[in-house]
Amino acid sequence: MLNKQDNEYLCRIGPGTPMGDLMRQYWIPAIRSDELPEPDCAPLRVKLLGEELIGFRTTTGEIGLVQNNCPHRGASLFFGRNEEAGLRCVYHGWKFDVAGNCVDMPNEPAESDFKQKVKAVAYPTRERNGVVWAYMGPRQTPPPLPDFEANMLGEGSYSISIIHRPCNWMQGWEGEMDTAHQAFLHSGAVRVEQTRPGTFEHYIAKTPAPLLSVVDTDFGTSYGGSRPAEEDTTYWRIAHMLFPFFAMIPTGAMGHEVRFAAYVPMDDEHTLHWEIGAEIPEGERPAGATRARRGARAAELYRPNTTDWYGRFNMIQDSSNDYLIDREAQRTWKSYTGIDGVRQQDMAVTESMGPIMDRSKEHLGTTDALIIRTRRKLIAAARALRERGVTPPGVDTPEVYRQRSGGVILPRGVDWWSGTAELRSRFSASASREPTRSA
Amino acid sequence: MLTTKDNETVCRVGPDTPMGKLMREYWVPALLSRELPSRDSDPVRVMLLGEKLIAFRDTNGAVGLIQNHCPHRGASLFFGRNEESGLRCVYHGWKFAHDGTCVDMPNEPAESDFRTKVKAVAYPTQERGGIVWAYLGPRATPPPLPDLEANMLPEGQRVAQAVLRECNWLQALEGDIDTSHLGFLHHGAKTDADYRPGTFAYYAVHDRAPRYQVVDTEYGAMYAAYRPAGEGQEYWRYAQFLFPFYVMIPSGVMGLQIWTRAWVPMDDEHVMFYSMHHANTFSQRGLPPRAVDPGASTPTPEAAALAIPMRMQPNTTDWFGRFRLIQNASNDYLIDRDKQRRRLDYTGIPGIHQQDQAVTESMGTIFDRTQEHLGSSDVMLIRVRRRLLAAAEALASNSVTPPGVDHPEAYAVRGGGALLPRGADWLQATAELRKAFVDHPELDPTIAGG
Repeated sequence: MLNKQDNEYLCRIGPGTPMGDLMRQYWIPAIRSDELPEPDCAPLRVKLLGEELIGFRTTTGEIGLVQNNCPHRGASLFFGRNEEAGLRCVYHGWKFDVAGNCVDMPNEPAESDFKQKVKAVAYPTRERNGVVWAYMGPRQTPPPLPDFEANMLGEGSYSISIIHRPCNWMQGWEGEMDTAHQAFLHSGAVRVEQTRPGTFEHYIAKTPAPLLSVVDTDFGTSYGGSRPAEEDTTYWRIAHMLFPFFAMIPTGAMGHEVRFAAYVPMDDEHTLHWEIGAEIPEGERPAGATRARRGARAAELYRPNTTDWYGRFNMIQDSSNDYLIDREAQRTWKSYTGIDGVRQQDMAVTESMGPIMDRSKEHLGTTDALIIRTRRKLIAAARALRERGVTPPGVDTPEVYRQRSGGVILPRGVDWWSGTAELRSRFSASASREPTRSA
Repeated sequence: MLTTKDNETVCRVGPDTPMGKLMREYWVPALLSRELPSRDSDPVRVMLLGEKLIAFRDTNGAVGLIQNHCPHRGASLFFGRNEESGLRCVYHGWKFAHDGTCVDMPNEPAESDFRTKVKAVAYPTQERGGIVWAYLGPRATPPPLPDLEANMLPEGQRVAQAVLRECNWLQALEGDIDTSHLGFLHHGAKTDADYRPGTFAYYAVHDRAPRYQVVDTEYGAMYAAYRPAGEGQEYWRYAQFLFPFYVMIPSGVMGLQIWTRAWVPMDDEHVMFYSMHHANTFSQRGLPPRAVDPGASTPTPEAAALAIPMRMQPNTTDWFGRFRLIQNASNDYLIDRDKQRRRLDYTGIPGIHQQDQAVTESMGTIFDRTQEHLGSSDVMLIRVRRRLLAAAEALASNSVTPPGVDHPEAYAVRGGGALLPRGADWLQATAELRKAFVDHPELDPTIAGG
């Protein structure tokens, strides 16, 4: 439960808000590289942290991320001509480079120096393995990019899928902290006898309610959800919440794949949910197990992208069609929800809370321990930044993001956190910190 | 004219508003029984008095009406599994009985008693006459249902229908007690020649500016509009307003017409109109049914010949997806300007109910009544507003139970028209005719004209 004031503090991320200031300390996934497929391609409307921005790839391949409204008289630069290493407003021909410098002002007399006095808001970008990261914060020299292994393994090994979630970012992120819903929302129709003994799925079906253990970490928070496995072993599902909105989920077997999710606020009521996964190079994976990595989400589940602010990565199943719920399938136990797709199930429940859930009305139980912990930590970090200028966790320590998540079987009685330290912090030798491009 | 403050007070019905509290003293129609067609059928989104609720019929046939957001983490119970006498949230499997009790919490350890500490908001319901009634009020034991005759008829004789209107409830209700629009909006293109002399319809078209009497009643207010009829007679039209949002309109023959209209606020800007009536109420008079929707009975051949049925869009599961007309604001109610121009029709909008819908919705979702100019024909709606405001004030300030709550028998009345000798006492002369649950085989239904 949060009172209304704390709920507002936690959820709102526009410029000047405490949580908005906190997020602006970090690099943020802004655009998937293939949204700007080639030099001088069409500009892209990008809503990010409540700001309206225009993304564009210049003649030399750099990525610009500039304010939507032309500094002159406010026409949208979306209509701009992307040409000769800059974006030119079609209203009066003013042209801006990726740094926001006004490099041409052809409607002013040639002798005018007005051009030097005008600057567009433009945020630094770095492009790394398919992700365009943006830094919207106050530093002259931005901090390093976080060491997300899945975003550091090269071309061909990674996949990136994005879903637009029309609700507050925290609602989406909290779904990742709430491991207990797995046994209901996603696999409530799975019966023990349908599962193969010795599998994770079997242990979940046998014990729907996990026991939860939560720890504070130098990147955020982590949980281990435990269920009895065999006579002398325990199945632990280990997941991480990494500041300010990243998650590593507990499905699959730890060490066979790496991935992370990001709940990137477009504004207070719209979120882009990124999922980035990569293969660990063969030979570095633990022996004996097959990899369980899921591919990118099938394109046929999406509506075509449009150029609207909220026109990117919309799924066909959405609130307007009740996520295509099939009540008959629900009734006959073919599916617990009747809604197809794990992510679509998540969308249905989190979006149905309303665009910003009123947390003064909730009732949290023991399985919500991580949600409670993470909210507190976020609010405390935002307050510390605002009141004492304390840099929040992870900003200057990119290596803390070197974590792996997933399921492990541990002997009963072994501490899940220390017992997995080595497995969790392995880091592929081929991971590279170098951005592919920066601007 | 109302001040902005009074207008806000009388229109807004959310929790904790004065009018919202007044309405919560009463049982309110929440949905039609047939919207929950069978046990364990699909849950339905119900917006009621500004609250988002989920209705479901459980395995035993009982109807639950519970808060939309699961008490745990707020996921909508609309997606819930309706099974084994309860609605189970698909997020973590919490399950609620129709009375809001949490009967299962399978994601918590078996030894936890958290379940006993959680309750969903759930409102008591009753089903009668095809309507699911709900009590959203404060009493532990709700009052009795009102004795509305049209809702108490035997199966086969009763009809219950619903139509969404996209404006404030009072705006819509005021149309029902504003009798003087009849001669214009609905019959403006008619002349004496269109009706048989000696009928109600003839007199109504012949004299479009009647005079009025209004009186406060135990259950609300009543008016009658009167105009000259045949030799030594007057044609009187009686209509009832019954707290908090019912109307019995004055068309038809008093003593025969069994018809209650309810304007139930979904929120401040949407109202669900319920028509509860005897199956013969319209066909007797050769009039088209006011509401025809996919589940309604077919009118008699005579009625069908005259009918411009209210064509409905298919219901959707949206909060405002129930009982929408095809004619609506987005298509200007399918106005035919040519018909309007040539006086084939006064408005050019087909359908009585649709004409009402067009004018009341066009006032805006909540009409600013500081801008109106009321005349003598508006005397009833002035009275009703005053009664509503006074009752809400009395409840808020002195906890006075509003009219009718504990007097179900007060609702056993009828509205309609009668021919009275000139100079008769309008109240005494019709005292018997206005009583519900009385048969009048001596009355001639064709006097209405139609």
